[in-house]
Amino acid sequence: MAKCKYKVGLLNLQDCGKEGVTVCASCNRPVCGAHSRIHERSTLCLECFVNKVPEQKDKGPGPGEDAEYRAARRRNLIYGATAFHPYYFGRSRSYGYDDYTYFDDTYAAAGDPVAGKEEIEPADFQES
Amino acid sequence: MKKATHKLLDPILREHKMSGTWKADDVRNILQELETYDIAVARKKKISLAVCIISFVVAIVPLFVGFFYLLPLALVGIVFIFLFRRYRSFDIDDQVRLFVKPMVESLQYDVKKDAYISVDLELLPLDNNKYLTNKGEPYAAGAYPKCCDYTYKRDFLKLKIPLVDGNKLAIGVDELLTKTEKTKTNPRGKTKTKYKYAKKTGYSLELKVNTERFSVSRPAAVNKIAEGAPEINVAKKDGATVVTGSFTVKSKEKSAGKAEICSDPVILLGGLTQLYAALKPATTK
Repeated sequence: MAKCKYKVGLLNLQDCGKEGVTVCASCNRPVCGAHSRIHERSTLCLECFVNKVPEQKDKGPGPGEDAEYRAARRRNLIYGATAFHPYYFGRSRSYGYDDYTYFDDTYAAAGDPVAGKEEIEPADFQES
Repeated sequence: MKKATHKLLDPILREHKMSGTWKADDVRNILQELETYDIAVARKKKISLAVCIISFVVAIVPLFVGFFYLLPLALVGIVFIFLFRRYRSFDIDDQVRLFVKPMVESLQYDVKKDAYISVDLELLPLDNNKYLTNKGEPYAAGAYPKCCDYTYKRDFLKLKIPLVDGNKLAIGVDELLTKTEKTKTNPRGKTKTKYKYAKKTGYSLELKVNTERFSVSRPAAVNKIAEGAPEINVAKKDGATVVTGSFTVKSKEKSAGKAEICSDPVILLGGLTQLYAALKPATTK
């Protein structure tokens, strides 16, 4: 699966970069286990979770105890109050070329020696 | 507790002060351990106080009536008084876990990897006698014939953090607490004491800008600075561009014996983002 697309940091955003394990049901980005939460039987990234679930509803021992969750909640609050746009030091703000190649028929997993190569040989072409 | 962290924690608890230079991960671990320690001490303090009260009610009062076989229980109560006093001396300021730790947690990805953070953090509660700077003359006010003002002052926190974008951040928090103690005797002859706390917290932020990556645009003049909004200044210091911001937050509390009016990490981090809003990307060559 693709790398986690959750952006970490407060003043400067960076890609989390860990291996993604699931896809956010709201924004469709791949996220790792640390940056995903289950809400009403669907998996959300931490940012969508914080936006959708009000704080008073999640005071249980689950997310309330989690440092990543608390940091995301604070970040959401600060960005909302100060209208601050952080700088991003990563590969892309949303989806890049690499992400589109996942949908190509010729896409093969990284590390595969035939990755990106056409499987059609010259011999396959025949005169019509 | 990990052995390595325990080694770091020992001198901090002995001196009631976290002062030195550590790696970012170590600072987070120490703050985590301090939180665990503080919660454990608070629980023990509560238990020893409860045992103390129960044993006094059950044993000491009947002792006066002549039930001497309850003497061992009274002794247990006395032992627990000493334990309570001992645990109270280990008490750590709640702001360490409610203000400093969340702030460091929020900045953890902004700190330069493997960089050293300079920390100066006071661990004792603000109304400790160590920070008492002035005790006013007793005076009378309304129904209270004996009133007294105590002033406590300290530099609570000083942090120096190298950031991942090349900027260098310095955070300073100083506190001024005025405790008013009002005592009166009610018609039944009981002495009643009330406390009032007024706290003024000063936050100062300093950002040494990495000019290879950022340029500074002086922010538009703000007519009236709202509480929690820093007054931003740009200056040259030792050849480097420095953006500074400072603001004050005032708070009041009316609870007896509770001086820990905690600072909010969101206010400080919000002020920090406003400092960052004055930065613009440097033009590329």
